Amino acid sequence: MVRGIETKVQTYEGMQRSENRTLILMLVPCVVILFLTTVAPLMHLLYTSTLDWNLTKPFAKEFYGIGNYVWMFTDDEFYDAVGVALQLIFESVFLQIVLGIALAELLAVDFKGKNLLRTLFIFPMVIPPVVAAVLWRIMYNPRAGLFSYFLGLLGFDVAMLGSSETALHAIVIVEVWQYTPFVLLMFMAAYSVIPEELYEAADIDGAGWWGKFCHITLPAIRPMIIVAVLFRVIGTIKVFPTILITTHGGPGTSTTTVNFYTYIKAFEQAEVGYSSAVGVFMFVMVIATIMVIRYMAKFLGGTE
Amino acid sequence: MKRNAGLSTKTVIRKLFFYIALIATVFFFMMPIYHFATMSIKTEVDAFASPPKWFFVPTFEHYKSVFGEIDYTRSLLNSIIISFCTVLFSLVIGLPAAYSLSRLKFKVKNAILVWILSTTMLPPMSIILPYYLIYMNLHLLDTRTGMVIIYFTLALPLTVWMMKTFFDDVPLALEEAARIDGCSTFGIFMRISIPVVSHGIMACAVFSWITAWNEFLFGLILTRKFAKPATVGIMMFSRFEDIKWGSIAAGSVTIMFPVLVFSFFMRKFLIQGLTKGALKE
Repeated sequence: MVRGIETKVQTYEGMQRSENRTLILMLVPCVVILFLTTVAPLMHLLYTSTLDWNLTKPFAKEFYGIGNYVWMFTDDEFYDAVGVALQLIFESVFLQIVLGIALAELLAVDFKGKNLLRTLFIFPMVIPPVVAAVLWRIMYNPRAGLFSYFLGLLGFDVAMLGSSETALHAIVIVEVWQYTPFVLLMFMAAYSVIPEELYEAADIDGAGWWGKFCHITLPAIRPMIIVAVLFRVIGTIKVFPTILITTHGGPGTSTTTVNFYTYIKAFEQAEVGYSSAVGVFMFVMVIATIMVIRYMAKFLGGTE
Repeated sequence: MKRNAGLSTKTVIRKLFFYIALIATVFFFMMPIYHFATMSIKTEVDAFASPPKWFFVPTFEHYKSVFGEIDYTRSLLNSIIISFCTVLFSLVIGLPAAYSLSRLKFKVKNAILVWILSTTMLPPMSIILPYYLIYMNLHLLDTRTGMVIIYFTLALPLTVWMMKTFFDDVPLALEEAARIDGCSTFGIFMRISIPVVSHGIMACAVFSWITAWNEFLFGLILTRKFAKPATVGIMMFSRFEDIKWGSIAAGSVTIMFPVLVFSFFMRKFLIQGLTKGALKE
């Protein structure tokens, strides 16, 4: 009798063990592959960042220590690129979040065609970024561009992409156009789970629109705002096709972000060693951004 | 009486404001796509007319010339092959991993999950240089295999992360019943769990497919001629001294069209997948 129970327990444990073994075997390929395809290249990047290596001079590949990093931190163009990147990130993420909230507020009421509208909003964010870039290059074209045409009607006569003062704003508009819908859909999802009773109670207390917005809506969607900021900051660091196709970093260096600067150094000037160092810097910045935003989220009590 | 009348004017103004804001929004977000799409069926003269021509006689000459360009049609074929292989491989490797991460009860599991998610945040510009150098040594530059490997790397973490949330929702009672009937863990995964999450798999496949289909940077750097994807292929129309806007528009609409169609039919899952992932963060 007792023996019987014991064997039963053992087989149960055995089952558990074999189940775990199967589960781990199912996970291993994925972990190994991801390690090889992401961690290994990063190691390689770290290695090449310590070399004095320009692909146009094949025999000049030698150990350079932290030389590339010293070069980077004394390079004015690099600092310019950091500045441009920061301006692009602040402007476009700020506009996306504000517009996203405004539109979510606008669309909070029920009306005919709301679902259709939600579907339409998917379109800008799923079209290939390179197509968005080409599309906006045409929109900004002084002769054929619809955007230039409307600017002209409003009395502005600027070739947005041609002047170093407006080129970055032109990029911001493209970013806002493509990713505000993404932010909006996230906020709409957050809105949909706010209990209706809260607003009804506020109505009874005689709260106005602004009061309801500040005391109910904003606190309720705050976790989503933090997630959206995180996603969009990381996304904006990586902006590439838009800049390549509309301005190619110009005029001058007015739209050369760190990301684009890495591209120019690596693939137009073949500075493997130096661009690796900038690549490492960008990687560190992304990690730092994630950590800062997560810390802020904890600090603000955003993640419930 | 008076108060009522006042309210109704207020309501009317509010409604008016609402619809103006709505139309302006739709106009800003949709007009560029419409304008661009119509450009591909306008003659050069109509496309560059100012003020813009809203009514015109459509022409298909741009599509004819685009599809007559052998380099472009090859790049389209490349994109189709590469993106479908990407989806296939990321499901084959990602599904078991997602299931495993959903069912395992170890502490390390969460660390692995976070690590997998963090790989999606890697700046592509940081890892493209090592890829370029490694591919050069392995002779993978300008090959479809090379492209599938890199796109698979982009799609795999998304697959694992998304599918894990779907597997989490599968009722355990269903799996326990099968286990009592003597089904192995892998058998349960194949015969019980996969069919239950088939909708999620569809959504996930569309996500990975769009990721691979839309990608530009890796295609630009890691291919020269033979394995060039369509997103890079459309650039060829601006190579000559005067840019062929009509051809670029036609080529772009061709690669944009399937994405719009897929996302239209999968809209529910896309929004769900998007917000589900974000809420779980």
